[in-house]
Amino acid sequence: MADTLVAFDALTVRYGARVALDAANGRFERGATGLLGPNGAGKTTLLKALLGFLTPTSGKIEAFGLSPSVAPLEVRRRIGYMPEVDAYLPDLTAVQTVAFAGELSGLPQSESMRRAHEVLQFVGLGEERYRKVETYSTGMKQKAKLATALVHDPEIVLLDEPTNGLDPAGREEMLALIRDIVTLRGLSVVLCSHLLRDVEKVCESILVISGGAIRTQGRVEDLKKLDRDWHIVRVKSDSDDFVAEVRRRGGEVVSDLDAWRIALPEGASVAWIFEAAAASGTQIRHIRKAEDTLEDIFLRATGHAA
Amino acid sequence: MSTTQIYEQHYRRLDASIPLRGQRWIPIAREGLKALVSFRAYLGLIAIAWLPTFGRLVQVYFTTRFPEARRIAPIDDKFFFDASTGIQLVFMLLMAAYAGAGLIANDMRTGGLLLYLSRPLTLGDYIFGKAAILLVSLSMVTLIPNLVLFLGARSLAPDVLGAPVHLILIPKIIALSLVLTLPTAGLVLALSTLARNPRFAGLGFFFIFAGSSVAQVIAWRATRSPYAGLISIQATMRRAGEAIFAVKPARMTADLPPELAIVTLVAMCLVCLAVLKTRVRAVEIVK
Repeated sequence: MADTLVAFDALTVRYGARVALDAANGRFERGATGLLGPNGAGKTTLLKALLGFLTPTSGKIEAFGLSPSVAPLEVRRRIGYMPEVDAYLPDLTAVQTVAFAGELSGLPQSESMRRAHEVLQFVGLGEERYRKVETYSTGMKQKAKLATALVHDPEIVLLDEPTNGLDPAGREEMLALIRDIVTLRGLSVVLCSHLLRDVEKVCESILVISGGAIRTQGRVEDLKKLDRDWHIVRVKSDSDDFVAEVRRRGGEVVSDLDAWRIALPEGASVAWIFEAAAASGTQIRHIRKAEDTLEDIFLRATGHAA
Repeated sequence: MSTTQIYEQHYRRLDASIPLRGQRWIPIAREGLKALVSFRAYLGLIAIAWLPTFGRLVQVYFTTRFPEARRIAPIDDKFFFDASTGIQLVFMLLMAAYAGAGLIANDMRTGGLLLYLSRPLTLGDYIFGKAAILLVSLSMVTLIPNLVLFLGARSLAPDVLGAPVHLILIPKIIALSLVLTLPTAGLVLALSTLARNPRFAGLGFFFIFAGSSVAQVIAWRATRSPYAGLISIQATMRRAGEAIFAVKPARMTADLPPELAIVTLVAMCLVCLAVLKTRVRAVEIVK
């Protein structure tokens, strides 16, 4: 499929006896994809296998139709990587670092210097670009890493925990930059994070990884759709009679904080809830169609659903 | 008035895809050398390392003025061999520790290694680029001064060194320089991957270099075997150099076959390469 940039099939990566990725299947489509998972789930291992740093024990991974183990240079030429950990060169200023990274990616010296200035302006470090990176704050270092990942204009940018260590304002700024890269510049992004809100703000698709395996994947809006017709209902005063009436009529009820989550029987409409309320003498104060949150999807996928 | 954020005006897509050009080690070597040249200590070390060369040129000049001095200090192969292996060796060690100890250690400490290896570079490009920085630096205190010494001496004393037959000294100087610099560069780079702190790598380098010479003396005194020379990096290099320049060997290693010395140095380089290949990686596996 033309929109698939990266695909991996039964991908297994081991560190000695430890299995980091266990027969993982998935794909990164064009656009912004969130790679969600708890710490140690295998997110960074997947990115490193994609960059050709790790050779799969079994299974296969392909980027742009190429295997990173067979053609690592061609794959890395088309990928920008922003690692989770610090990555700078001692004694170099930001503009020197980014220009050097551009040259290592194959840009001619003059072009890479011009691009370095441009991307540093883009990430908001224009005024600070002549300072040594080691003197930067955490937020500035994150931006410098993003600029380094972008300098050679990659097709896909792998962002490993890009908002780590940032204050709320810095985080919003970083997420705005990432959104900008995707929506205005047309680059694809894989946002690797354990922060659901960050992913929700930027990504249209997600992959949830846990224990080295992909637990769920797809478009966020599709995953949020429920398999049954659930409604959130809040009622006035005592609700025991109402809950009993719903159950008697074949509906399913679960508590949801100060409200009830009700699944309608097959073929019933929302009027069915009002009928149950009328029959039990209960007054409904609030009703809305229920939708999964990203947290619900994540918890269910990682086996922690309530 | 536009509400476009300022940064939005500064990013553009590249029109063409970047070709996968070769010689990716060149920017690594160039940037590394540029960084070193910005340090006064580096330039100062080079300047001091050239003083013995000028001293020897003065010596050559005096021998042209007073030919009888040639009997005491002849301008022959041994003159150039001593110029490479005497005080120049100390400068080479200082340069190796100063310029080489942090080359990879600093990249590992600051995560710079990821910056390199996530680019379309091979491990060979990275190692060769780093080695080139060190080899150029070492050549500045070994090969270049000795070539300048030869050319200077040849122009000062054409009656002694002017004959074409003496041009053979140029490949000899180059060969000796390789014997000295390649294993030194390999060792210091390998140590640089083993210690995240460049100071430890530098100290480890001196300890191995000096310690191996001390161990050789002890072993020789205990066994009187010429093969004890193989314990010392310096003695092994010297024995190979003696063979290249066809000069009288040192007493402790006089019976050590020079071929064995060269094989030992090659083996040392291969071990260092193996260490580099194992240690230089973008993934640190914590067991």
